[in-house]
Amino acid sequence: MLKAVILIGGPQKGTRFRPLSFEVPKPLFPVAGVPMVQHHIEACAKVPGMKEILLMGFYQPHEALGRFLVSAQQEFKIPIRYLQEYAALGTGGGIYHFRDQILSGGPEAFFVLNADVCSEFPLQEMLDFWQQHGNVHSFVMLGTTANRTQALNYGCIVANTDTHEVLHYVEKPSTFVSEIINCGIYLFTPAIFQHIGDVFQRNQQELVLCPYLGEESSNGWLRAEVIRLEQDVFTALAGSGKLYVYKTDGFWSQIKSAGSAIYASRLYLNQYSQCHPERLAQNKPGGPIIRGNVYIHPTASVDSTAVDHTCVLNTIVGWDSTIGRWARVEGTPSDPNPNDPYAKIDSETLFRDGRLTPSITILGCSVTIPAEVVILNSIVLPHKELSRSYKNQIIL
Amino acid sequence: IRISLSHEKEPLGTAGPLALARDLLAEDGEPFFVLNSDVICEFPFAALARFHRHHGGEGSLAVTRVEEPAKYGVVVSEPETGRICRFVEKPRVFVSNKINAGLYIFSPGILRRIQLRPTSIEKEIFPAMAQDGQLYAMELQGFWMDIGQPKDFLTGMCMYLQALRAQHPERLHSGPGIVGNVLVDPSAKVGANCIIGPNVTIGAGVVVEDGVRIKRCTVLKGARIRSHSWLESCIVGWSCSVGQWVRMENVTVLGEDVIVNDELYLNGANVLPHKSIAESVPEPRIIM
Repeated sequence: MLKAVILIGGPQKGTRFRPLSFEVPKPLFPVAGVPMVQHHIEACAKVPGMKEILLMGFYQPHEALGRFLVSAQQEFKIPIRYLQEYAALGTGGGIYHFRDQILSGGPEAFFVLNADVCSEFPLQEMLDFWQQHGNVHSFVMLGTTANRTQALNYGCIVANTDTHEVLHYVEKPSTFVSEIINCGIYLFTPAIFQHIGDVFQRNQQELVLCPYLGEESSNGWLRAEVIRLEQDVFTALAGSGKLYVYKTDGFWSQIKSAGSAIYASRLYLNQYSQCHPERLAQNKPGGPIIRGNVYIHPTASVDSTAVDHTCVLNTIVGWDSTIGRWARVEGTPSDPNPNDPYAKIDSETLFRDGRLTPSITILGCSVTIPAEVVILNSIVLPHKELSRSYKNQIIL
Repeated sequence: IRISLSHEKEPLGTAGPLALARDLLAEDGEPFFVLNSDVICEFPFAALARFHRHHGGEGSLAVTRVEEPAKYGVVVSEPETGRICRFVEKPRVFVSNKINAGLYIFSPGILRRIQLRPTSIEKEIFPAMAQDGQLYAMELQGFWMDIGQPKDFLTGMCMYLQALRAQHPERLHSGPGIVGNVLVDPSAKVGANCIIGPNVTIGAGVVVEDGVRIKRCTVLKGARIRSHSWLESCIVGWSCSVGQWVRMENVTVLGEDVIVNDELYLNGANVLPHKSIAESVPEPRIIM
């Protein structure tokens, strides 16, 4: 039997996603019409033998999270639980802390997925690969191809081209190592906890040797439990014959900034058009003209007379916001170069040369845009009532 | 009325062309008006002629009061007679707020002062006439604007429409969706749910589709503005086509036969004729 763990982080993580994350936790932000992690859950629930899904993070118990867990369990008919870390323990520390919960019931293997990725989730293919290549105690990492410059922003994997064994792993190198990058989706066996435990022991020993590295002792104890899978575990496992990479050509993207949420939305909507066309809006006589892949929530109404000549492009419009007639709300898409099949979305810094980098326009919740103005490449924080046009600004 | 054409083979400045047309101008020995074509005002020809005959000097020029005289050349004149004492080009300290309005009336004797060569009437002829006490200034009533730049053209248009409202309000357009001073050619078509104005002129054969908002613009003959677009402070050239959901503002000028694709944003774009615009212009620039 199998399980899946989805790492959802906490309030201190994912701050590049603000102001969208002010209203709901980032993992619940809607992408292609449903919460970000619902895509993960749907993919996991489809794998035969999947018995439980664990969401792991350090958000406090949250009304929206609670409601989501209930509805997701009903929809996908699989137990889903939230395990709250007492502090940010890193991508490895959390699963190590809850290893007993993960191993209860005796799963032969379990998936670990980062919530802030958008993917085709080739989980069955990863399982088949794991079973076929022979070593039942090995671990599998999902990899994909990036271009040479952008690969430096991710975890880089050097692998044997025949056996696909990971020979070398480096997280965000400063010089080129490999075009194969880590997708943040893994298949582990219970043996992984031995390796994470080794890191934990090493951390503790280091603390004994140098207890006062400028931090208080209570933090010091916590530091031993903070374990990063990428830097601490994979780097050590590379070349040991235990870590393998399954390369996929399916779509994949990180979701770090608001702009990447729009790009991820596009990827999923494109997937719907091929696998679930019934989820997309269809052109109906008398209804709005639908061009390309569009998702309209069942309770939404698109009324062409009410929308009143507005033009909204490359924008995220927050809950309960209103846009006056003839207003123009526009952002700049930060999509990857469409001519490069391996280009990934850039995680640009907010400012460049002292000016705000042009990006998706975001209206936080309950924002009011008056009539006839233009809002271009701007971020408007929640509950603002604007009175004039703005360009390239953050409006607090 | 007889219209004659005097053609300069080389540019002769602002005075030389008068020497070129000497025979036509001095024909009947009567004073003649000289106008700069990029000036718009109420053209008080009768008052100017009366003023000129009254003082008997060689020349009269109209002056107008402006807020920023240092941008132009100012005229210093005697308050009672209007006799001009001197001109000062772009003064650094305040001298006077009256500037040369570019509208003159001369007695044929002035032609003795002008030779057939490139000559500036402001720099070479007027100062000498002022020295001789032969030049007088009459203050213009009503509006005045030098409309040589697109920005000033639109300002002048607003002034003109305002004067029209005062003098011939029946020529202005009214109806549902018309706000303020708006001039619409009878052959133009305006769609449903539009709001046009204030300060808009719509030329012959123009088609404005449904749901368009136009403010402070000139739309020239044969242009088409497609639905849901929003235009403010623009000049749309002859036969242009502006797409749907377009936003144009900040003295965007489209030359003849320019096509603007749907959903674009043009901010201060100056587009030369026959161009097709497929990308937004978020900051002012010239498209060649």
